[in-house]
Amino acid sequence: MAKDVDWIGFSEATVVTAVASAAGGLLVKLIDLPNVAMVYLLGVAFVASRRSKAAGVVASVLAVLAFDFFFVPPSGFSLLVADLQAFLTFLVMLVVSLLISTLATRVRKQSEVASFAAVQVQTEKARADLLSAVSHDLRTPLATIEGSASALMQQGELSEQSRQLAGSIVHDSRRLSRLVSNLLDMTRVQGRIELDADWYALDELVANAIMRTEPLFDQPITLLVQPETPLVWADGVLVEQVFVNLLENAARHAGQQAKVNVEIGRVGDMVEAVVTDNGPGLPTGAESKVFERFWGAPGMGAGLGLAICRAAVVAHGGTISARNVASGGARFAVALPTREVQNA
Amino acid sequence: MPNGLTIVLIEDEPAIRRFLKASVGKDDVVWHECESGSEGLKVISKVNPDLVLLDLGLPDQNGLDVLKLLREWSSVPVMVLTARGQERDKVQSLDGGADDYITKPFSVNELWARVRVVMRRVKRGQTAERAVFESKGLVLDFEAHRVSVRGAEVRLTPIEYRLLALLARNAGKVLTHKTILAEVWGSGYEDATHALRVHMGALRAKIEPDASHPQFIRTETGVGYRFLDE
Repeated sequence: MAKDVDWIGFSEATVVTAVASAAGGLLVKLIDLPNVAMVYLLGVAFVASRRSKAAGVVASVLAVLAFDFFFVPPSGFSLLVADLQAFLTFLVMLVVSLLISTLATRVRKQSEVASFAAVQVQTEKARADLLSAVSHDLRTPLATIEGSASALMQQGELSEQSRQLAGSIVHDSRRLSRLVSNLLDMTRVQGRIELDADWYALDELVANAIMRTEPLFDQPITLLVQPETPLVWADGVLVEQVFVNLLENAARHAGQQAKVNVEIGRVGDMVEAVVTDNGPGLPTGAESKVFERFWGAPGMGAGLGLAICRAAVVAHGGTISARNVASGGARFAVALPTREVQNA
Repeated sequence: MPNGLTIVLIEDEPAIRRFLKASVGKDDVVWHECESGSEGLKVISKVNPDLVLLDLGLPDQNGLDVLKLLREWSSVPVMVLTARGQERDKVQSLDGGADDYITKPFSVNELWARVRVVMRRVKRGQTAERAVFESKGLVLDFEAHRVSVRGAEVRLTPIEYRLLALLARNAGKVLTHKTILAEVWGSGYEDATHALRVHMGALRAKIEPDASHPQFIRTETGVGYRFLDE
């Protein structure tokens, strides 16, 4: 792209030089000639500080020409005197204009960067505020629904049918809470995540995820941990959720009868957790698509699970991948760093 | 249900107050509810309850501040009602003297089960310290410094033993990392979570038969550890 020509700057240089000439003309009776040059210099500085470098150069050229033409004796009103003095005046003006325009450009850039950062901070804060407001507004009624329905189930005089109906309310209210959590997690991981990181033994987080998702499976999930597996530097709550999502995903696609294994061990300078199931596996070519939002999901909240996993793992400086095992069945591998990392 | 107790609930949401009250039923529970922290503190000083249920998101003041004020003059058991994703609040309430927390949304049977654990622990604390702790086949002899699981002796390092003893003495209660580090390592080591995780991992490997289903020590992610007391 060609650089825009600073026509406004050039016009300003011309106008300012004219004004300086006029002022010089008025003052020449009262002040010495070198001080008239100062009036031009003032004009050059003015243009250079407000406009582009090119406009500053144009202003210095015009100023020298005008000064020389109007004021420098002996010729008066001529351009013939091109002696050393005129050249020096020009040089000074040129250098001053270049210095000032360079400084001005730098200051402008800095303030732009600063205001951009301020806007970003504001946006992040607005997002966080909105998130916590939405989260509160959605969760409070959900807490009332689950709590009230569960209190109803305890009432002694309830018929079996009423109890079942109250049970359905509790069950689906929990489901809704999970979906809301998914949406909120997605919003959170889409922004710049503030990791609340600390040292964790990954198997403790995975064990919690297993206990939370166990009701979805008929068979117990097995967890194998290699001895001497190092700790990971992670946001525990977020990473636990990653494994809850992976296990829920296994239950959804491999079914309730699925046999799920998790193996944890060191791989290079990462700790890797591999979740395998014995279900139908991923459709051909879907290995990377599964982590896209809403991929292959009929419902919104459900389609977010794996996308949240990827965003959360990436924010940790880790990796996540999916493929099929030779015997069929899907295999998800999550690797997390074993050292402290700065927020990505 | 929590029979024979005087309970003060501090919660600003009327619908939540309603179902909690309904769930205590017509048993001999003396039930007081307050909408705000200041009112709650007044009522607590008047009725001297057995238990306080404290919502952290109150309109007039932060629940943590209410807890702080309350702890200046009362040791009444406090169960904090909090929301998901507020692990820092959970940690702060536990460090500030809360006995336990429950995350909204919850079912009332979960809440009262947790309350029972808290009340049992409080009652146990009033009797003399036991010389031997026993839970689900784990036996901890405080005098002999000996631990066995299902009859087989387990050899623990001094730090592992101190970790287990601390958690067992507080069975049922979540201990924050800060508390554990201060008790086991002493002051000045509050940031040594790396060491805490390593020793806890070694301890768990020695006493837990199945890593995926810890029977004794539960990780409360982002908060601390709890010795399961069921």
